[in-house]
Amino acid sequence: MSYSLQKKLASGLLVRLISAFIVIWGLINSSVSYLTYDYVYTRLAHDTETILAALIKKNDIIDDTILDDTADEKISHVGSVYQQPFSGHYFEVIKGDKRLRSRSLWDQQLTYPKGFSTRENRLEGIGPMKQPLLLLASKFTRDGQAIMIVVAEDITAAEKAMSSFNKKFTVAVAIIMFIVIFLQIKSLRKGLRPLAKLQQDLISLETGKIASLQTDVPDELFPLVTEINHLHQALAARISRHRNALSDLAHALKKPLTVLQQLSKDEKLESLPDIKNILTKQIDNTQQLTQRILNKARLAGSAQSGSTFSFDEDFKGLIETLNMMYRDKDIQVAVAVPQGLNYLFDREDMLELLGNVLDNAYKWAENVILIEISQNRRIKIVIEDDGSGIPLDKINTIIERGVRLDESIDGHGIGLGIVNDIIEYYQGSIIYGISEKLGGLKVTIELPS
Amino acid sequence: MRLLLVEDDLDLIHTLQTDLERAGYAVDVANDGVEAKFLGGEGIYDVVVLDLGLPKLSGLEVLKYWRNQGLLLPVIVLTARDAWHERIDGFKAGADDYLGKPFHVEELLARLNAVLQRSNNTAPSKNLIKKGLVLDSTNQTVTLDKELIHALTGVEFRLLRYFMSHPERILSKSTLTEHVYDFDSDKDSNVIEVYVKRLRNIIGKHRIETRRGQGYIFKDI
Repeated sequence: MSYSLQKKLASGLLVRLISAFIVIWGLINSSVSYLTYDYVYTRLAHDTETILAALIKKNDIIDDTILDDTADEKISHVGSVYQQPFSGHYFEVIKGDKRLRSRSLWDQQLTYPKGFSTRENRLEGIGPMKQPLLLLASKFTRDGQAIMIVVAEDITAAEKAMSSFNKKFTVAVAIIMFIVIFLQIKSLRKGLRPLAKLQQDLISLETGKIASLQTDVPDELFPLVTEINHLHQALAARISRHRNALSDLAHALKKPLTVLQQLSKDEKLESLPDIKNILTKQIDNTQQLTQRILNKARLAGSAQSGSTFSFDEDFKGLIETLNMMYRDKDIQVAVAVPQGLNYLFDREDMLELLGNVLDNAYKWAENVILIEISQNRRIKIVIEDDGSGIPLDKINTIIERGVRLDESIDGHGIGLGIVNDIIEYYQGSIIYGISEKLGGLKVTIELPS
Repeated sequence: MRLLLVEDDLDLIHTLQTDLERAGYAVDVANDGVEAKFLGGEGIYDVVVLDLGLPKLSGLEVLKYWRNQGLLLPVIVLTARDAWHERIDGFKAGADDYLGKPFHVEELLARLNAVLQRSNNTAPSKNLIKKGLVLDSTNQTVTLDKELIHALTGVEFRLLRYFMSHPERILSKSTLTEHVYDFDSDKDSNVIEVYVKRLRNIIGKHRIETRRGQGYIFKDI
């Protein structure tokens, strides 16, 4: 199961940040409307007190005279806002079935839920001109006489102010939230940057661009990096030790073989043709066996040894070497290699592979060799020459024999046998055919990238 | 032709030296890199057969040193290290040819022949051909005007080959001695006079001119 550390951290952070902001936004919004309403109700309570005081000014009792004809006059100075029609400030005094309404109400009535019992009730209702109202209904009882005063205030303006505040606040919160999220993700990225760099470094290490991973990493990554470096070095050292040992073995084996081969040509053996033949044949076999097996054992298989094949430099060097080896032949080589080929192939393996195939082409070509390299999902190498070529059936026998190693093979057989080993090792494919362009041999090699 | 054989395996030196001498080369042997480095700089060799795995100093180092010193003498690398990447390194270091061990002596001789002729600016062929003269290095004979075949002795063959490889050039007696004899031979430059006389009898007097006090010139006419 794979998942991205960064995505996981970022999505968790996003969910938490957004919910926190929503909660804060809701709390502040509701507090603002609660505080506003509370402020209005407090003012209404004040007005109620003023109205009551005005009504019972003289004798400080509540009786039936309270709402007599002089009542209008008594409350006229309570506030001019109650005199002006539809000013948004209204009251109503109810005593039994008598009602006294503020002039501002004109001929309208206040609509509010009825049937409350407590002394002070905070209500919401609709007033004249469909104004949204806050109402405070207060019951006063003195000596068995009850009076109810309902004071109302239009809150259109307050609502408007609140909704304007609401809008601005929402926008501000959203902006702050986005900035915070942006900064958080940025710092998250920055925090995870060593991981991305490590990933890059690992690729560079694999391609042999760097010899070891950089150790200036955060403490959390340090043990990992040192361990990878350690393993990489151990592996590279082992491969290079392995190769050197094989190279020394090859060297050591070839020296006595060379002496034996020279000896087998000695004149003194002319009189013993049987012995000479067997000697020659066995020495040749041993030589080819040695070469084939050592070459096979030397294959690195991946770029772990540190040096990778460069299609610019190493390939050029190989062509120059072949041109030097075959300088007495007039051979034109046309090479088509796309820029920026990105392929991890051990330098020595690739040189061995291309060297042997090209050596064969140079050996057989009359004048022209075409080399074409292309990369898709696999890397494709096509080598064509204009020589008379080896008949196809013979190629197969050469390779077959090369595999079996039990018969003497002519010079290039061993080379193509090695080519086969390398292709097999890399799980690639090699096809021999006739070149349509040049008429000679066409070798098509495909290797997985 | 004087040849420097750089090789550390005594058994191989023994057989190879015999084969090379039989093919008409005056052979000196260097057993390690340091000796080879010194001998190669002497300027008396026409060609070098160089092993790479040498004691004291590797053959590749020796070759690089020579090339850095501006020495152009042809070098054939003869080595057991014949993987392609090693071959490329060999050519990069300045080798003229590269032969993997084990090898066939015939192959080595053919390559020596080619390398030598190339170094004298002639297209390599099995026989050395100058106007009216064909020198066959396999049978060590000279053919005059496509008719008369003369067998040559070892020294005659070497001397004539050197003359034919360096036509129209003044060759002093000491130069000829250097390139015809190895270190171990009894070197008496007066012997050269005797051999020149014998060659003149075979290929015609006009072919080798004497420059008094300077030496001889082989005329390619």
